[in-house]
Amino acid sequence: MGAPSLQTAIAFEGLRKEFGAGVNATLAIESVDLNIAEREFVSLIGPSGCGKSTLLRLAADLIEPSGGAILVNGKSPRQARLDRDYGFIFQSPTLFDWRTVWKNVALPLEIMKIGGMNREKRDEEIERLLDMVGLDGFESHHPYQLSGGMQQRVSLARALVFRPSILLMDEPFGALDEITRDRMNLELHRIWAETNTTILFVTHSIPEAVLLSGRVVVMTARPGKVQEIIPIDLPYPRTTEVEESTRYYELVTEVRESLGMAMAGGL
Amino acid sequence: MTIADSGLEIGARRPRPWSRHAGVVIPPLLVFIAAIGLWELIIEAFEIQRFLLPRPSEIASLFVEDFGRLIRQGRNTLGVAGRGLLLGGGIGIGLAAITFRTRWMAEGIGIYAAVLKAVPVISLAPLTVVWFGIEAGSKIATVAIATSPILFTYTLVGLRSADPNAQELMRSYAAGHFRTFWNLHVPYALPFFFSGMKIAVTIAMIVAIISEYFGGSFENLGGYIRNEANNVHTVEVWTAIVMACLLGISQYMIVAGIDRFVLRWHPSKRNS
Ligand SMILES: Nc1ncnc2c1ncn2[C@@H]1O[C@H](COP(=O)(O)OP(=O)(O)OP(=O)(O)O)[C@@H](O)[C@H]1O
Ligand SMILES: [Mg+2]
Repeated sequence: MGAPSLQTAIAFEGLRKEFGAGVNATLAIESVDLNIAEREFVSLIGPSGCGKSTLLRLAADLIEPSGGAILVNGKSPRQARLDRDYGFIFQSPTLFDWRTVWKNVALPLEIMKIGGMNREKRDEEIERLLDMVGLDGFESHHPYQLSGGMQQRVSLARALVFRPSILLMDEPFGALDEITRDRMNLELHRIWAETNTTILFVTHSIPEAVLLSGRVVVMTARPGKVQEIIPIDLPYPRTTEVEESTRYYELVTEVRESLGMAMAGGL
Repeated sequence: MTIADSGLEIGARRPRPWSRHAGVVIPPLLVFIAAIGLWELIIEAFEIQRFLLPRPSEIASLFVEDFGRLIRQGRNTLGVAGRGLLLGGGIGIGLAAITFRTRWMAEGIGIYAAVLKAVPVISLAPLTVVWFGIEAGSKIATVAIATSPILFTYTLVGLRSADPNAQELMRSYAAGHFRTFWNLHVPYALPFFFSGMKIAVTIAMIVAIISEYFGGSFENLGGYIRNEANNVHTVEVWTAIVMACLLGISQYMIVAGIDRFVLRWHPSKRNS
């Protein structure tokens, strides 16, 4: 095995994942080869149940692969997890009901006891993030007093607060209305552009995938494989103007057709 | 628009405390007064003898007269119940906390907890006397035996109810066992723990008093009841029973109050 390239943030090699055993076994992921470079923004798109969440969970060392290999920042996923290399955003907000919004966002800092960050700076950071996700004034609310979309925005702030080098995002904005979603997308894109974050982003929305990504990975229906990787050659920064360009529409169409083929292939 | 808004606001406001509580307080109070009146009447009408069933008024006046002593005796019984509950709770909760991640261990203990809950534990009281002596020790032990399986079972179910996604979240933070336990499992276990406690405090009081029937000091409610009953001092027995009831109810209400306060965030406790 050669030395892993420093440029690769996440590498999947011949990855396979089977749930259960015997007659009840489900082959969720058949064989995935994919390299995600440092600072890259990659979207995963594919039919429901094709193994997108599974792929993310494998990268995060939340489950173990049945075959193949994964390297995260040149390390095993387990080591990357122990090094707190990534932030995970789940499909559901997964907030702690007994904590206020503020304390939910502070959770990772409490758990990780991040050194070198004094309390004042920490509070400033939380405030800035809550502001950014449009939740200032809700600091002392409890999650149940928020709408589903607001809850998901808290979970975004919580994932960003400890500045992980990799963000694994599982349909983070699925529950948001379109306007908020657009705003969150642009914010996320800005954060990505301003920091050294690598983002692996699962979505069901083709326009969202095209607008945000450097590459869009289209997956086939279960068992999941990579159907096609579509590079998005749109200029940066991705603004509303980009969203109205002809090239943007061409790429949306390209992804849509590829996805159509992926779904047909799975039937 | 403003009228509709303010109308909504008034509608949404919680009713004033008195009118809200009145519906809960008044009917039981009326039933209580009626029952006491009926009790007096029946004694009057059928000329029931005093040692069989004394008048409520008689019990009340003796209760007031003996209040100081009853409180002292109640405190001793409460002490036994409390220490037994502390011991039983410590064992039950401790075992649940140690075993909840390991299915076979939790299940292995769970079977014995189920058996212990099915056994009328009070039948062990004479045995504990043999082991721990006639004074408080044996009574504390019996209370502990009676309450530990309750708190074990409730705490175990609670610890296991933690949201799997939240567990994965903690895992993604590489949170240690202790931090995950404290920040995630404990809050999930609390509602179950309090449900268990509400049952356990009642059981502890019952078991403490009955264990005191089996011997030992008279300076507690059970011992006093035993002694006075032997002498057919029925009114005295009744005053001790009233004190036991009052202590039991206040204990329960304290636990319920703490539960309400601690779990303000829980769906079952939120005010809409
Ligand atoms: N813990 C599990 N046990 C058994 N099967 C599982 C488990 N998790 C996922 N699967 C199966 O693996 C397949 C892929 O699931 P996954 O959640 O990764 O899909 P997905 O692409 O994220 O779908 P969606 O877009 O609907 O979220 C599904 O067929 C699912 O039934
Ligand atoms: Mg999914």
